[in-house]
Amino acid sequence: MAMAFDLTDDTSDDDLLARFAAGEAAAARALTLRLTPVALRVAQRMLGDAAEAEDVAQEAMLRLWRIAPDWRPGVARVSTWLYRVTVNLCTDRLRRRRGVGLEAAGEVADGAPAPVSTLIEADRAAALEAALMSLPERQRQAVVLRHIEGLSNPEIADILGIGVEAVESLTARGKRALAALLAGRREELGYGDD
Amino acid sequence: MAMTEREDDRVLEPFFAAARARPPEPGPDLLARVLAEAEAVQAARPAAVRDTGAAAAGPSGWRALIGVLGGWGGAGGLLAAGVAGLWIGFSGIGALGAASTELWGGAGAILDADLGADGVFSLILDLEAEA
Repeated sequence: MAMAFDLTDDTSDDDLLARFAAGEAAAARALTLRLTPVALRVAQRMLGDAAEAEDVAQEAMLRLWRIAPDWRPGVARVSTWLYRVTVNLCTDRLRRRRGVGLEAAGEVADGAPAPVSTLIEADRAAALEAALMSLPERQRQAVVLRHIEGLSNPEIADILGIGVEAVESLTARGKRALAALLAGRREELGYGDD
Repeated sequence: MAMTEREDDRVLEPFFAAARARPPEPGPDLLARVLAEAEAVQAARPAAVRDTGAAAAGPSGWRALIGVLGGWGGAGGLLAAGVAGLWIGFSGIGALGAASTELWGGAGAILDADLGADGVFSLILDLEAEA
């Protein structure tokens, strides 16, 4: 019986998705645990809002469940598809924010520096997240996917639907702006001796 | 440009490393909601579609129906009758007398020669997928 399979980390996304489409409950659980964090990470860093990021992650996963029966193994990577859907859902959210004048929702954290003595690694991550929110959306996407998610430029190009050179340009400009924002905070964030 | 980017990387890498080390993790509530939707989607899917995958555990859906009809031969015959009925519907009463012999030879021959048992099943699945 197929249900006897142990769905470990060795099982490919393609395989899990096929098993999900075939009705295996274990595949649903494995994909939920494996891919929800991916969607959530990207959504959180694109939106800078935990509640909205959860909504986006849930919606992206729902779309995955729905396309499972039509998925063609080997044609595209499941993770690439999920990144693309998540990024697009975030774009929709950001567009809506702009529509109701809430563009600054994710940027409020930028500004008043925290006391040096209380800054720990979480604060460094938070400082980056706040700085990311001040980037133009396309640069933020490229920087997050390249330097936090660790994807290759060709894969990012595929996700964003642009050329590799455009990805390189976006990440370079994004990092330039981030470095300008964060350079002054390196000391207070405990990086003064680097 | 390259120098500038290298300097930017030097400034930023510690921040990127901190972010990578502290990814936002989904809480149990979110995971439960995602899983509940997964199970709902699975439950809503017709049994015949689920059976085409690795977890096929026994006759259900179309397989059960085909079993009731007497196997593939019976299903093929039924489909032939359906095609014939459709043909009659489109051709009209006046043409029926002259064409009936041709019809029963024609439609049955098409099924036997071109589709076969697997072809009939594929056709059924295609029809279902489009429904």
